Amino acid sequence: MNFSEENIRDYVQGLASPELMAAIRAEVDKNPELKEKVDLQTLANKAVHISRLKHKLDAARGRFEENESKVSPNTVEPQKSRIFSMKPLLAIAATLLVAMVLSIVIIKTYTKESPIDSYLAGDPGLPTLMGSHSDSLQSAMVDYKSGNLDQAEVVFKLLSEAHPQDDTYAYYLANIDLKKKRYDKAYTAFSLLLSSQKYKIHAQWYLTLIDLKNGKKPALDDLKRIASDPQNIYARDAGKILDAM
Amino acid sequence: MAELSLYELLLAQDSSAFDLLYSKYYPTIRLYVNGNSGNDDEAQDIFQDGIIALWNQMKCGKYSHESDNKLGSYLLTICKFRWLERVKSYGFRNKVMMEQNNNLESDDQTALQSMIKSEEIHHLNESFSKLNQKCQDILTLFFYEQKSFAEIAEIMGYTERSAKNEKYRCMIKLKEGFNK
Repeated sequence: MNFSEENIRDYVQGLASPELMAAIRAEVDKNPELKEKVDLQTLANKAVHISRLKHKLDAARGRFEENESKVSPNTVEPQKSRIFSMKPLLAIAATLLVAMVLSIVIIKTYTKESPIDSYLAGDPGLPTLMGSHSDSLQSAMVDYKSGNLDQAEVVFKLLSEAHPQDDTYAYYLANIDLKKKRYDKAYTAFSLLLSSQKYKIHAQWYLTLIDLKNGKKPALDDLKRIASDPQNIYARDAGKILDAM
Repeated sequence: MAELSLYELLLAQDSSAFDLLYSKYYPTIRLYVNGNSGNDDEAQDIFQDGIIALWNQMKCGKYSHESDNKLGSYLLTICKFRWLERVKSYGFRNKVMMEQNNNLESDDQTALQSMIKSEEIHHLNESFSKLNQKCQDILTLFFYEQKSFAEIAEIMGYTERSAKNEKYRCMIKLKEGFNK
């Protein structure tokens, strides 16, 4: 059976009719000449598409760099325009924040959960400009706060590897473990942060919570210690857990 | 009409997909590469190679799509491994980076396979760009623009027969360049 060059192209691109696809597939194994034609077209087809893709990527790179230069800090009067453009965003963010706080209060009032569980949900995250992906930390934080934890985890990992001296990424990775209920992994991650000046207090807090969750008795003493330390930012939360217990 | 996902846009090589990938994921790769002995140009190379490798996996049906977020994570992982491999080949081994590379999760393994394939893709693209302009045009008209030989003959001033011969000659040249 003879197949035209166009037939073979359609086969290679998966665009041929089911009958033609089946006919070529059946023939290609027993006809070395046809197999050679198919292989040759497969290679050329791939090369052409990759070349077109590369052109489009170069164009996208150009657009990205152009946009980036437009928003660079050297632009004339950036502060003024930024303040004005942020106003509606801040209003939306404030409304959402109020709604979130109200929802949390309602949920806490009407659901009976262990006093520890709500605190094991981890750090709420850093403030972000809503929907912003202007830099990697912002982008990861937006994902972290909106529950796209897989995505946030990959970005935090990359950032942590690129800047191992900055504990922020390791801290949020530990929190992702916590949010994903991977308590053993979170425990190790927070233990490593005990040597961090910036995150020591937080690490102690979450380690205590995990210990409590796992029913470790000495954790209760740790919790009391946190509650009685007025300098500790978690003193009030620790007191609340003790009251609920 | 339902909004197309990033996956669908990328598969169709829609420009908006590349813009989105650049704005959302390139800054992370740039930071990563710059923080690990690289520079912006190398970050660009790595990022584009990563997208091409991802697109190729999608085309071959080897990437199973779950969500656009997963697609982003997958792209970042490909880029990361590609950069680690390049650093290794440069000879300035970064001990910490290599140790991190030893602890691969299953998703990472798939991305690593894809990265290995991307070497081949890179070479194929190079072979294509070494063809003369006429060859590049005729192959693009046939495979990308889906033109018939009659249409190609008219556009390029050939007879239908010579358009066929020319296309065959160009494919052989491409194959020879690729197998070198």
